[in-house]
Amino acid sequence: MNCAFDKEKLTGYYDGELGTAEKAEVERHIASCSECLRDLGELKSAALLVRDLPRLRAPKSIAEGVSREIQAAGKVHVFSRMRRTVLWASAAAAGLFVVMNVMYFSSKERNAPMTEGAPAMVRAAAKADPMASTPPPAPAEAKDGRSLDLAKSAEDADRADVRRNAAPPMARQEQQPAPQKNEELRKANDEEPSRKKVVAADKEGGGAKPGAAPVTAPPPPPAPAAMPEKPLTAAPAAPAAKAAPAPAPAPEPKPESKQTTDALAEKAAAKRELDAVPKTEPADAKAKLGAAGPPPADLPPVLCNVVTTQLAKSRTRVEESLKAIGIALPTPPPAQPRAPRNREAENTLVLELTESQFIRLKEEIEKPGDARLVVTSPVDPVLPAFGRGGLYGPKKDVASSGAKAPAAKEAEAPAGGAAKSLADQGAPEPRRKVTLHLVESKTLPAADAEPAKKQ
Amino acid sequence: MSPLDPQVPGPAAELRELPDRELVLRCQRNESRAFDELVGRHQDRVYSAVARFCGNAEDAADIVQRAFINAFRKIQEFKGDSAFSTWIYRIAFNQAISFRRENRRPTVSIYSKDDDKVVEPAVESNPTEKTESEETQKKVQQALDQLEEGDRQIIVLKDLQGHSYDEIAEIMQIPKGTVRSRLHRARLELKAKLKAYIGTLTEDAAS
Repeated sequence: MNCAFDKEKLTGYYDGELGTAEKAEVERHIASCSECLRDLGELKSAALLVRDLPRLRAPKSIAEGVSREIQAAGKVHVFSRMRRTVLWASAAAAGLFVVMNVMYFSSKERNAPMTEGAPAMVRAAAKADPMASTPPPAPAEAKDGRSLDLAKSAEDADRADVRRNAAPPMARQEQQPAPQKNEELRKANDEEPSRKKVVAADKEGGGAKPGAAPVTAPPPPPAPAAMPEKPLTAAPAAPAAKAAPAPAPAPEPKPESKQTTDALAEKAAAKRELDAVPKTEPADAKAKLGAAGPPPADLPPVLCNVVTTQLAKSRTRVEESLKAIGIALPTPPPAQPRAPRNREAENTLVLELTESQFIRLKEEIEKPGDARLVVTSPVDPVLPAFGRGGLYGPKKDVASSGAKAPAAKEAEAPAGGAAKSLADQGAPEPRRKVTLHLVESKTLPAADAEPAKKQ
Repeated sequence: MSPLDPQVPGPAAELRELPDRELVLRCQRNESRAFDELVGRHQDRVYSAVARFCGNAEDAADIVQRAFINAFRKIQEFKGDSAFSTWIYRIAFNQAISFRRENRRPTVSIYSKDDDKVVEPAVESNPTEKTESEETQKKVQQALDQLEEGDRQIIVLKDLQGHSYDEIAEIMQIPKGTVRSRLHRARLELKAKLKAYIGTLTEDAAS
């Protein structure tokens, strides 16, 4: 039982898996070794017992189940192929849809700016090169001819202005009135946007004309930019537009050859209208505080103090009084950044009032009884009464200084009275610049009689 | 018609003439009937091996069916480096090992009185010998069930199925030298468990 022979070779020998040499070796060994021979016999017996086990037949369920699964897989395979095809087709269609939309909207965006900004583009092009012979770029909606007409008239007007301003030798004979003419032309140029608005509005109101088609929805001109410089003229721009249809010759059809002359005529007519409007201005005209240039006033300016026992009340009182008589409070100038606070400017109001408006304002201010509107001289005696600190210095008796005020008022009364008589007669009242100082005092000056009554 | 059951429509006659390699190629071209032919060719042997390995007829049927279905699904991956039978055996035994590990349940004897399950009767004998034979087969099956999975598998593949060492090495994915040593050890184990019968058979085998 201690044979050292490799017993695994016996298994190989039995299974016929040994090479020729190994096989011969095993045969020589087992011929002389009973132990290995016995082991070989036992290995064969065990193998034979297993080999003799009956073979089993596979049940039908195996083949049927496999066949069923194959058929189901085949259908799924086809379906998945179809689904894949459908998915690819859907993805392609979606991609095509997206691409088309992008192209459509990008083309729309490209066209839109040209349509909306066409007049601005035309003006910019004309100003940049007014003597250019090439026509301005045609806007996208030129097919109806509306903006094209406007562009052409704008270009021609600009060319006329430039030529005029160049001052040919013949025109130098009119050097004296030239500045006035230039001033008129400058004003006309400044008012050109509003004229265009007038022309546009007129064209809209004038109905369809073959030559000058009505302009629908022209872009709003930069008129507001020019308005603050001329408060009197800017405010009535809208009424001028409304009044334009009657006098303006715009509705008439203009052949293209006459556009230059007609444009000048339109400018002159528009200027005449604008100059005439201040006499019929509505009550809500605004006077700017510290305006660039004082508006022409028919009457000399007057200084007044609105005296209250509480400075905080005085501004509110003045605002309410102005609102009651239908006058808008002038807008204060924009506060400069990092500038020290100007209290005096905050408590000073400059208005343009007629005499009747002034009287009504005084009545409104003094109605509650806790404020007084005192007319003073140009050298305001009231303010010095407050001493070195101005409004915030030691306060002196105001009543004594207020006594001088009526004298100044009386001096102006005749003019005011004359104005009032004019008002009584129904003629437009002259206006004056009224500067209101808001002041605070422990005691109020005595109530003044109406200037008119003291006459 | 199917060679196993005339009632079941089987693959075409020409497919029966084709070798396994050609049938596999046709399967890879989505000819499902070719795979039906492959199933018909190999299902009995695979089922028998798996049944002896598992010791349970019902489990073996499920395992073999799954194995063929898996083989169909992976048919595109079969490169033809080995025989189809080797490949399907490997799949089946892997499936059986996984199944046995997941479902530990008492072994149901594969021996029944249903003679239809037996393809090749082991011994043609009289009823008495048949009874002794069945007893011996049961003992042998019981002894197989007591072996470790690896030993059992190699015994079934070699002694029951008659595969060569190369085929066993490919099915079990082990080196050829390992097959001989494992088989020798497995046979020694089986012999120890069948000691009561070996003595008698040894004398028969030796003669």
